[in-house]
Amino acid sequence: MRKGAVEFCVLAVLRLEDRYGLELARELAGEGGLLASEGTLYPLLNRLHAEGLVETYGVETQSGPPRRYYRITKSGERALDDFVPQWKTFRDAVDVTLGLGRKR
Amino acid sequence: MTDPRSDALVHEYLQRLDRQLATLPPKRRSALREQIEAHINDARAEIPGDEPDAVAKMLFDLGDPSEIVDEAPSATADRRHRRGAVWIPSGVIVVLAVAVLSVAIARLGSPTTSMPPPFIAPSTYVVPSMVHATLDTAMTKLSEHYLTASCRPTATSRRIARVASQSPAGGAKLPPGSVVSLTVIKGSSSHVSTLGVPATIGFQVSCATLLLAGDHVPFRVQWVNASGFWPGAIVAQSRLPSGLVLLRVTRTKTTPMKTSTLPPCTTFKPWATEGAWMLAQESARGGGFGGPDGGIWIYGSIPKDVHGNGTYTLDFGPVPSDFGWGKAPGDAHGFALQWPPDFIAGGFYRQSPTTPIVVTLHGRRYFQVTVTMTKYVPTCSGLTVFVY
Repeated sequence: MRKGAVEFCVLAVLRLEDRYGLELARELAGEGGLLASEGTLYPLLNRLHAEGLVETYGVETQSGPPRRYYRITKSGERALDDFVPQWKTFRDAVDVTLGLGRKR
Repeated sequence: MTDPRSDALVHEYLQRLDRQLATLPPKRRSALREQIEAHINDARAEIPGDEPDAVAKMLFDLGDPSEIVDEAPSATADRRHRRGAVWIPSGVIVVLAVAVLSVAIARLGSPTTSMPPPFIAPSTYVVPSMVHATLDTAMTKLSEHYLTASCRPTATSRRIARVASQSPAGGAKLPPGSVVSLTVIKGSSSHVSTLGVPATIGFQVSCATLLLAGDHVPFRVQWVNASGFWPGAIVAQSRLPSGLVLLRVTRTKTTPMKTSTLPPCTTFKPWATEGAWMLAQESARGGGFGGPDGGIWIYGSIPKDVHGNGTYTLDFGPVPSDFGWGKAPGDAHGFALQWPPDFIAGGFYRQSPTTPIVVTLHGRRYFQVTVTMTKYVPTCSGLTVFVY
């Protein structure tokens, strides 16, 4: 369940601002342990990239090679928009089933 | 400015990563390798003084390479799941909720510690295509796939030993430890190796001798009885000050040296017994591989039983007195630890001091490393790690 949802968390973070890997990993790892470990972010990013939901670009740094930034695409934004209402419905259904929420 | 001790930690981590990545297609492998390396570089740049303990913590947070690579193969399955409809169709939400509830109830009755991810050792490895590759490259490729080779020479005057044909062909699937037959074109007398002395440990003597002869490295083969290792395989290699390379080759399979009621820490029998065998040989000889550290060397740790998460001291040696590396405690070198490929433990910490220290055990010199393993550590017997 986490694996499916974290992809959209990545998209949500990238919708706010383009990030490079370390930034993104730390933000997600810090949010209640969304990532099992920071390194697991990268296979996930590669999946999103392969599906056209994120794209990358390089930014020159003062030292070392260019840094790779990740940016959400239009498709990624649409996927995120589709996901949000479905997630709310799903979350409410789980809450109700677990006795944590009210039936509507 | 980097700290050499931190360099060693990163080097070891990337080596473990490379071994795990070997199971991925080349494109995905190189992309992930590049991303992880960039992550490490970015994170190290933020660590004042490149302090080794902080670098170890950073690598711990990054996660065990096996954990990272385990995420990658699921890409196909995830794409199939998500194709056509992003996330989950509404109609299955109730079913999912029931499933979640079932899992939650099941967990209430079980310990709250998170379960380690199940590790399924690959039962087969894909044979790489090696035709036209140099023998050195072919052997490296095979060892990355936990395969070995036997070699058959042909007489030609090519400058460097190359693989002319192989059996089975690239793409075949074999269990780890299987032998791939290589037909090799010999090197010519004019060829002088620029690669130094190639590593031959684990390979059949037929390949090792061809490789060394092709590179015009003088060598001598010592046949020894060994336990549990492939007959005819190179189990130790060292170079004498004269430049002569000694190869120790197993002659027979005999009874395993050690029995235990615990499950073995590795199913790779050659691996598990290699360390024990090497140590026994070292002890019998009075230490050392017969020469200093001018050539390729490898030391196994004394086999150790492991009982879950904890701190373990690994002793590598005995080391011969004329071995020059690491004479003084605290010496930092770019050494690497080689763990059995199917020994899964997460959260490795090399404790302070972060480099191997020189210790004296039973009047002999050993390198000692203290490692803390914090996740997914099994209870098992005979863990042997190699330092090289």
